Amino acid sequence: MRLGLLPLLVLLALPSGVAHGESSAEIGGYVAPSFGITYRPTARPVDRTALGFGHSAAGLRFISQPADHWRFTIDLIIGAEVFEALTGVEAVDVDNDGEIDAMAVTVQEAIGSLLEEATVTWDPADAFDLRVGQMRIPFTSQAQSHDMTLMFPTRSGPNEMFLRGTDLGLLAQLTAGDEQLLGSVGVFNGTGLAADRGNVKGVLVAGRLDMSPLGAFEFAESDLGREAFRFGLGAGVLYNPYRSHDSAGEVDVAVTDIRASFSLRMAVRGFFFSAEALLRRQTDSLTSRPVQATGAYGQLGFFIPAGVEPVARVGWTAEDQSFDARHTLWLEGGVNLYPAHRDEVPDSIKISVNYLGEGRLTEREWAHGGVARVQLKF
Amino acid sequence: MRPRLTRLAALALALALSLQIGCGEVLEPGQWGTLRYFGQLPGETPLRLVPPITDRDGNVYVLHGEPEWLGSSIYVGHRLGGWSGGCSAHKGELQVLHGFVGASADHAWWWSGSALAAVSGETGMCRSILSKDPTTGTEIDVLAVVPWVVDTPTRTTTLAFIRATSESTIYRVVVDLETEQYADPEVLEQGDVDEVLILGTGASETLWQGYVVVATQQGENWRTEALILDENGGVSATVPLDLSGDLTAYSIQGFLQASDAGLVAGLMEDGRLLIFNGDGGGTKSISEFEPLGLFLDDGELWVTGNQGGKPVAARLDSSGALGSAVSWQASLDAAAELGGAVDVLDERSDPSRRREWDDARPAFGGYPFISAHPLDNYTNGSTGWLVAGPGYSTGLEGMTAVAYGPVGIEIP
Repeated sequence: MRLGLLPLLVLLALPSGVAHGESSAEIGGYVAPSFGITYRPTARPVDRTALGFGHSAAGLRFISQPADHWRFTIDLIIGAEVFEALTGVEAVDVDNDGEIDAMAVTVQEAIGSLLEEATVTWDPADAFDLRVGQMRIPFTSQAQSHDMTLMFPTRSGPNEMFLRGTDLGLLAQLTAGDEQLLGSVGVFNGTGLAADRGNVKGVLVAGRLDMSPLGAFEFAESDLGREAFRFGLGAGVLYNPYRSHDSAGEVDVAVTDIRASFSLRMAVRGFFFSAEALLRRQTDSLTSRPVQATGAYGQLGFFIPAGVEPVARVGWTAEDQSFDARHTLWLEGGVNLYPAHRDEVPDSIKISVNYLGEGRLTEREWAHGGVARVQLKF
Repeated sequence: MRPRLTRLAALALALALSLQIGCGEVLEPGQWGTLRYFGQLPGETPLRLVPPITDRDGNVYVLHGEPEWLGSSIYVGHRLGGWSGGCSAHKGELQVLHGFVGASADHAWWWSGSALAAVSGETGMCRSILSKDPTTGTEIDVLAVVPWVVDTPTRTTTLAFIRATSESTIYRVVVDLETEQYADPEVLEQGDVDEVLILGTGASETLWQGYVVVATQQGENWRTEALILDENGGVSATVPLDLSGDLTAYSIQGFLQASDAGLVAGLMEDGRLLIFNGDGGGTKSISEFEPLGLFLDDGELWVTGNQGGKPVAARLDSSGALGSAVSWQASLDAAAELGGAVDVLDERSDPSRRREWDDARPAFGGYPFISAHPLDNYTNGSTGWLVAGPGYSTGLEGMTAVAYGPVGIEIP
């Protein structure tokens, strides 16, 4: 965590707008406190209801171009990933019979990965750039949307199930036409960790192609500009062969993990729709038991000039399809309000009120949630 | 632009198809996957084993009833290689290895004697649970466990009948397998009852039902019935059964299994077939072949066994009528593939090594797949089985090398 904070401390030590050679750092970001409720009807009483303020997320984005064709991007999200870190363990003999009956643990909240992106980009030509560092792999359409421009407070359940978080690697991006064609090919560690960590060694190759025949179509998930009709088609693939090693340091299992995504997006006069289908198949040299999953989601919103955007989303995944399929359904809906929609930056203030429902169909269990969130962008 | 789009669409379609190919069977019927040699077990074939199971993460569990009834031991094959072994649990003088209760993402539970035990798929550590009442410290006997782990994001539970060792009252309870506590106890029998015998248990994960067959003695009279339970331990139906002959505890072999149509079947130790649905039931004798097991395939029940020394299977329809026995080719093929030398992966210690066994054979039962215990759905179209290899004698007892292997399965 100390290392994760280092870039933030370095950047905060520099006053905003101070020149670095010929250029200065462009700083942007957002602050988003939230209030939520979760109700799980079939859970134990202690887990049945959760009500209160959630973690406030704050995003900071620094972009600078210290030299021609060279720029860096640092994107930090503070408070988005908070987890309970184990700080103590004690064996407990409940009935004093000399046998350990339980483990008593103490935990403290800790901040997870802070870095959403820390990259250096070299763009020798308008149509080509090369990015290296830590970044979100552009596997899906939604993975290419910045957190600030998502339709809902979080990415869809299927998107997060098929690829979550960021990784370290190198990404080449190519554009053609008037950004009607956007392609990328990258090589990543595949673990989200530095190469010298863990006993899993491999490489992840990612490829993505997006087409928007009617002109450039950004990955923001709202049509706040109420522009003319645009649509985009895209496909992504991940190929991740890796080897797991045993305690003797020898190769135990060779694994091949392949994932694919297909996306459709369209927007016109405030209406925005996107849908993606996701596939995964993982095989290995030991078990003859593939890991197989399928997922899909669709979401739509309609931004009306009064600064109101009703939104709805449906998602579905089927995991463990090769042996005991487990189906999950997400039903989400709500409204985004843009009080400053007439300003130059229409989403500088965004108030969201959403219902978030997750149904584990195979296990016959539902969880219902509501979240109210205010996002201020700067 | 259009031809380019067509080519890209074709590429995307080809990729999608390549991801979906083989989504069903990964092993041909009778074909073995990698045989994972995990240890040498005391005893000689047929060993006291039940069909192995797996959890969602892919960890493998092998349950062995020890000779001389010193207990039962569990061995865990970890999903990315390596085994943990020999963790034991058993309770009581009742020498019955009932079998696996079920598994969650990374744990499994089994029932041995009057003990309910849990094992971790990550570490291989096991422990008895519910052995004592947490409030009074009284010893608890677990008399019945429904082989059904209800694993949801908020709870992991099963159903059990328990009794304090020093008392006669039996309680029906829901067992929280995470906190290892029981809840919602209900007295099983009210009134004047002389004796209660548990004949067997079973479950249907499709129908979300548990089954316990109970015989109750009042004076000279015995009453036999099947209790159909929901996931909260409530009795949704009590089905009278017509069971003649002497009744003994746990006389139903393995576990009861149910078709999607609601027909429940179990094999009695005297070879009769017990069948019932929500309206009633009784026993049926089978003369065409020797019934030794049950197999649930695509929601339909099959009775499996031997006919002339060869494996056969006969379909049980929703009315309880038994079809003609047909030769079970997948079982024959699986047994034949073990004839001659086979390669095994010796995973007893790191690093794993390749070995060759000259005399491989099924480690328990006769032919593969024939068991009164439910078979694991390792993948759609395969299950797990155990293979015995070379053995030796210590002078006191024999020891046999045993390997786990996935194997393709198909009903005739």
